[in-house]
Amino acid sequence: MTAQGLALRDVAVRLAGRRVVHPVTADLGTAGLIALVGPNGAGKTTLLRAMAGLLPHTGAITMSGTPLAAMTPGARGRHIGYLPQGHLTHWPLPVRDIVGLGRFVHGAHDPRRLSAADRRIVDEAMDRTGLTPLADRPATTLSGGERARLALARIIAQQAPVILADEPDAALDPRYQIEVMSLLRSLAMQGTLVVAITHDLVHAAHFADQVMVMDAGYLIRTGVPAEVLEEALLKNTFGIAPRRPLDGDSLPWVLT
Amino acid sequence: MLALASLMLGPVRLAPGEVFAALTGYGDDPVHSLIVREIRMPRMVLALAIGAMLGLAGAALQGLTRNPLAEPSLFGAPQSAAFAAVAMVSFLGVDILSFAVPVAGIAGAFASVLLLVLITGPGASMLVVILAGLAISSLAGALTALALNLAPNFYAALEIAFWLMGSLEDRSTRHLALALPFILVGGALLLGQRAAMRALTLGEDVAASLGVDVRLTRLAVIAGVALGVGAGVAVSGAIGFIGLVAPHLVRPLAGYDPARTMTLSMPAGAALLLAADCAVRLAPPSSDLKVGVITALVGAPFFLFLIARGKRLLAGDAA
Repeated sequence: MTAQGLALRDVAVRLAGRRVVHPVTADLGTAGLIALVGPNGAGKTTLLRAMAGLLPHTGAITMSGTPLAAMTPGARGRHIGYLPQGHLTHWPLPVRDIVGLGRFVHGAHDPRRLSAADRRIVDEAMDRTGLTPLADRPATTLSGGERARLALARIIAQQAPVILADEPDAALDPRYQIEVMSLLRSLAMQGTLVVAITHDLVHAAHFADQVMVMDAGYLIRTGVPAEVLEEALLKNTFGIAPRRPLDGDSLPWVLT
Repeated sequence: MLALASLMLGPVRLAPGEVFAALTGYGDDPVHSLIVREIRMPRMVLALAIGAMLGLAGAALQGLTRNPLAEPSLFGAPQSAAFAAVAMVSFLGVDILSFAVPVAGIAGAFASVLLLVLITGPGASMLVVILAGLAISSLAGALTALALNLAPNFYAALEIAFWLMGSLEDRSTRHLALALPFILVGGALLLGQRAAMRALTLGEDVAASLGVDVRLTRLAVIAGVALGVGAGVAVSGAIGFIGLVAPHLVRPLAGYDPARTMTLSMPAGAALLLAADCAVRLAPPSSDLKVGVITALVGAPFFLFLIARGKRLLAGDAA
């Protein structure tokens, strides 16, 4: 039986002769928000990049039974959207053009000559991320929070059933962190599979359907946040001691 | 306008009407006809082709590296072409305007690309490719200096030095016929990468995730630049700054779109080189001014002006 959605079978990655990701096997499903957590250097980004087809790896990554390796780069782009960390663009292109690049995988190679259908998708993506008033602003003049939303808008316009996001909430103030995670959450509710690396365990617990924990190149735990993020794991993997908040708030822990 | 001027200017100045007459074959003066068709026409077409190629190559490299300072000499192909050409003159005693010089130049450009690809291997990062290119261009530069050093006599050395400054003087239809096919193929290779350049504005990883074969793009750009610019250098000597300046000139017009910047850099580069070549001919013949000197003299201050004006935008880009 072939797994529905994204599935990893013995996926391992070596970089410069060193094994950075030890064989990972997991069924990630077709929809939902999965938080990929783990200490720095655990191999999270490497695994994510391998899943995006950006790194050579052993084992098999399949989309509804079809190996990614057998797809053309273009077909892979229609299945999987990749959101790297940090730097967004190098030229002062208008926001609308950057979002329009999401349609690249669907054959729209010129963001200034989109079909009516493509333009509608781009407009919707900007609307959803609150970027419509900024549509003509050069992307290089945006604030950090606006850039994060722009990156999200581009990937929404790409309309891939799988989104791989590397720390989408990094370097943002709390309000934007929550905004970004909420957006990913709503995409997941609408049937997209979102795998997001995050260092914020509170967000992982709050927003994610599932948590995958990596440590030293191994996938050590997978499951619903409440079961996975328990005291022993936090202590052994992250070296932190959790404290329950006194008022039983919706956030499960205050981390000290 | 510039094209007409370039056909009019020279030791024998012609009026627009005379140029037209000579071109259409209705002129009464066979000498004018000869000058326009055999001397100035190839020179003009060469200036246009090489200028367009330099502009396109600069825009392609700036798009590929996402660095506004990139220019055709980045990977060492023009320097290698210059060395190979100079070596022919210095070591083999070939005449500087002979056919063997551009042939060697093109071979030199090819050899440098091959070396670059062999050294960096597949999947190398852009930084490694740039460093290797830098090393190759330094090596080619040093070898050129050596060839100049070992030139058989003073006149040969002077000829080489002048050739290195870049000039379109006394180039014939044969030179044009030799360089043009390579320039066309190189240009086509570069223009074929326009869509990929757009995706690359979001970085190599995102471009790859959008279905762009980044390695293939890089290879096509390096090969296209080597072919087109290598052939240009082989015929005209080193002409600097056009590849650097032309894309900056048109980028705001292109709305910072890297693909449109590439397309528009061609007419911009062609116009720049043609204008410089006309300027050279306006100077008194005794001064023997070289077009490469003009492009650098005008190009460098102009580039400074662009930087001063665009400081804020460039700073925003870096942030």
